[in-house]
Amino acid sequence: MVFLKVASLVLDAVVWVAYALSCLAMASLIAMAGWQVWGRYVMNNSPTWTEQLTMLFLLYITLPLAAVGVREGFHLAVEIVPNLLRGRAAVWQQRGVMLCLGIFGGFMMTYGANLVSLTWAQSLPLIGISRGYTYLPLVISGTLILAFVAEHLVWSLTPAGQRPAPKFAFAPEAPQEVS
Amino acid sequence: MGLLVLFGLFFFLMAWGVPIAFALGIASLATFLFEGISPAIAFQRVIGGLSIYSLIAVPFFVFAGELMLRGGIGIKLVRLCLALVGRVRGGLGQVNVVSSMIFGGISGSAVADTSALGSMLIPMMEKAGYDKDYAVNVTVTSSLAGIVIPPSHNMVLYALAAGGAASISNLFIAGIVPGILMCLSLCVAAYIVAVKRNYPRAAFPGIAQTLRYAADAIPGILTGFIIVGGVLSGVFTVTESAAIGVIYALIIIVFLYRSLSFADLVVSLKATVRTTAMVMILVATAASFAYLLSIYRTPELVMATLTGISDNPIIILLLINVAFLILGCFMDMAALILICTPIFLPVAMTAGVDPVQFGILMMMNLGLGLTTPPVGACLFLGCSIAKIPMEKTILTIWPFYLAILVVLMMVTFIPGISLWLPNLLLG
Repeated sequence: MVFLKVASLVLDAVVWVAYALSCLAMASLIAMAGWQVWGRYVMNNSPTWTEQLTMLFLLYITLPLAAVGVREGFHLAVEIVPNLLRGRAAVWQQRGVMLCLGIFGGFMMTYGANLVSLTWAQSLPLIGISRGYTYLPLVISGTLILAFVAEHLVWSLTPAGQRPAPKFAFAPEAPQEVS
Repeated sequence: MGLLVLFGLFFFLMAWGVPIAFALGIASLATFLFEGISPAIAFQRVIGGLSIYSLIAVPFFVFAGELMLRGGIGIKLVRLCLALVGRVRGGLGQVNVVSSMIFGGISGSAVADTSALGSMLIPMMEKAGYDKDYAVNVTVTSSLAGIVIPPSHNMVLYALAAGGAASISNLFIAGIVPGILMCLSLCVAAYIVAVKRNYPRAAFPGIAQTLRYAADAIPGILTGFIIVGGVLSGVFTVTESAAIGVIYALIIIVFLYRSLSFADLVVSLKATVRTTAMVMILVATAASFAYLLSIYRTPELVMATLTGISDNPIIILLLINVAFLILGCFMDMAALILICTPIFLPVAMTAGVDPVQFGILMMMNLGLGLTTPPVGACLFLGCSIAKIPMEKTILTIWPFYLAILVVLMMVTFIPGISLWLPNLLLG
């Protein structure tokens, strides 16, 4: 039980870091798009690296946070059938969902790593870094999904039934998000 | 058989409660395995689906919406609209619709609209003697303006899913007339119900005060104009335009209105990256799903099925409308845009429908799903603000649905409503 609590604490920290880096990346995206306009109209020298880099940043925001969404349950889902289930049936439904996500995460990690190794020697145009960095978020996201699914499943077998609330959060929950 | 695996597994997983994005991903992955294709291709498609520069506009629009939501622009807008249209019978209902039209045009989001305006207007309407169900109905249905009136991130998603068949600037312009018509239609519905229930009029604050309210609200309202104007003039790309809109909104809210603290900014950023992840993972896995749909020539199959029912293009369009309305009741809008566009757009185009008109129809149809049970996000939000059961609201919402359906039918049968302005301005 102590090991499980420590593991959840570590994963809380991972989630905190994922949010912090994503927020920084988002602010950088805005700065880069602004810089592109400034470069084109004011400096008369349009930067060529911004487009490629912003697309790369979007991958690093989306995929790790999609894994965080598995832990926090913020992904869009049709919850008509799950809402009808009660007691043990609801627990098994949740375990089934998590197992599906875990299998997908496993494939994502394995084939992501495959793609990284296949493309590592190629370079991305305009920014000159390895193309493997494009596929690396798949490995990160797949690994995180597996970790979060394992955490959920193990906690669901304990008397508590679910992991405790996070000890720390990156920022308070937004009262209402825009979609 | 492969198509059966794809759709069978997708619907089963979705009904089981697997998040839609992952249901799409798992169904695609299983179909790739079933067909003996390497799953690496599925994940290549996932990355390919996200490597589109125009997509970056989506998080920027979401961030702009978050800033509008927390930056206090809503209250300035409501004050101005109250002074302008509050004197009509049931004036707060009119204020609600007109504010939504303008706020939706800035934030591009129905949920942001319901949240920002609903949290102000619903209590205000209750205090003035309006029934809770009326307040919720007007707030929720008028929030659809955020989707139809530009800028709208859902239109960006549609343009990407349409694969170049419809440009973002054409879609932005095409949404203006249907959006305004929808709001006018809702104003009429709100007025008729208000007269029937004998709701009060608001006092006019005087011309000088109205001008002060206008001066206060206009800098915030300009955000939407900057974004749309930037795209239409060709000065900025849609991504740059959205970024400039965010930078402008930040400057206005932080330095002029002084209504956003650093903590609020971090909360807005966190909410933005969460929504970005939620929408973008859908875009990513839907790319893999759409690849399989094209391999199986799904649009041709759907076309054959529909023409088996009728070969009249109007009937086909009506059937697609009905399909969208039903699907919109059960699934989120972004997911439906990404799944349905590759299936239904080629069908509609074969039937002679312009992809821009089809896009506007899709926005209206699927947007309506945000206001209907059992999964309408705006309806839930409006009911939770008013603390009223959804069942009670639904009993009296039909005049407002009817108002939207009338405009929906007009947009379906009269292509000029959505196509006249883009043809005039963009040729």
